[in-house]
Amino acid sequence: MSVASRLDPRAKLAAWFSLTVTYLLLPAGAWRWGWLGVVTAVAVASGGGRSLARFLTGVILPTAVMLVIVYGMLAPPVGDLAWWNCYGLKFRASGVVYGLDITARLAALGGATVALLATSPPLELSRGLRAFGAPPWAVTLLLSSLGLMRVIEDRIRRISAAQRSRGLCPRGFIVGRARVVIPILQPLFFSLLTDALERSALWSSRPYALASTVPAGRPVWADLVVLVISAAAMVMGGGLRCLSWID
Amino acid sequence: MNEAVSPVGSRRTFGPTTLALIPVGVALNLGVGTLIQIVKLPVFLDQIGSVSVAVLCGPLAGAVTGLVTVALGGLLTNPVLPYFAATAIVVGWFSGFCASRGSFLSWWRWAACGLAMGVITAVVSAPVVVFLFGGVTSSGSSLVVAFLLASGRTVLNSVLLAGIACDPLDKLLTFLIVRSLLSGLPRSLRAQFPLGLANTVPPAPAEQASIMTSVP
Repeated sequence: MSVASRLDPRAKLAAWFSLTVTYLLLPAGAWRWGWLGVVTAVAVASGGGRSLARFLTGVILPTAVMLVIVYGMLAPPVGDLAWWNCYGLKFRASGVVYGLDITARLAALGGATVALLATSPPLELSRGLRAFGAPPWAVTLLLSSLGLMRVIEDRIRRISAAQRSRGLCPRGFIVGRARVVIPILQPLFFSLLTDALERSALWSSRPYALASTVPAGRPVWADLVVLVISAAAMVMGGGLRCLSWID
Repeated sequence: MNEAVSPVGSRRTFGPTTLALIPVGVALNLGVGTLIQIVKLPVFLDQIGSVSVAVLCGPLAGAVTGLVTVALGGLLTNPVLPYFAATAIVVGWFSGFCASRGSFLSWWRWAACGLAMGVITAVVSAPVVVFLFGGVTSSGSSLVVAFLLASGRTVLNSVLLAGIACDPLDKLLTFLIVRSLLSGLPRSLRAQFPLGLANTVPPAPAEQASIMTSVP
């Protein structure tokens, strides 16, 4: 288990907040690219390398390609340093850089979340949220919803297979396809509502208030180090942003 | 399991029925994407659960459903989803507000609320898209934004116009599907939820009510 996984959940939530806010505070350019490197290093060191790779290849890479092509072609031809002519299409440097900058922002915000999730199971995150004042019923909702996710996907597949065997087939334009949704959603909705009523009857029959789940004990030195670094990073980001406005 | 819940802006904590229904709404919001892939619809329909919970349990429950959806969605599917929490809250609250005003009872008023919801979500999410993501996300509407930018508009205007062009259809379909689903439920089932009958069944006419009260 890595050091990051053993940190207090409150320190991890504070670090996540700092990673995202600092990126937004830093002025555009080398500082932001450097901070993106920091976020990536933190995500990989936290054990989230695989999740980060999936996020980068599944979300960031297609977005980057789309943005670079679109903004490269559509950038106004004013004040550009260079442009390329590729099979008759003109790509302007300013547009390509702008597209990459937006992609980097998306990657940084998502990478910070990947780092948090790689080191914190949902129950631990819920404890951290409780420590910051989230009400117990909110935590209950989060954990109940997690459990229902797999149930609902399984039921959707079974109901859609059953309805297709009865001749249901999506065809036509939007309205025709939207009509197919109702015969699948109706039995799903009915079954989920009856399950919810049974669950509420169970909860009514016994006290459902959560016991205190706030992390016990004082933070150890590693947590304090993380908190100090997080605060310092945000102050640095704010200071650099103010300096860029003055200049 | 009767829960005394005032229709709009209730400050009471949720009862067990509402607490049990909210995770269902969250799971519907996140899980219906599987269904959309099967049917191949060019819309998201990712707020069906929030709107359903809002109609059955009130605007506050709908807003909480939206909030928990983006929090869980950020954990499970897309890490940038939590930044659109305000949009999710507004969807749940507005749909509950419209239902409490009787809009659910006629399909054309409910459809108008869906269109209005689309415009409102475009307005609410535009600042987030502009200031956090520079005007684009990973969805197809980014192409519309790029073309509008090329026509000389500012980033905020482009994002706003692209959202207004794309969101109303999605929200209109969401509202109509929810109406179809809830209208198809037995009245006895709807009665088990705090506002299940109040929002989905027209009130009895005054004459009928006076006849019923005059019977010994």
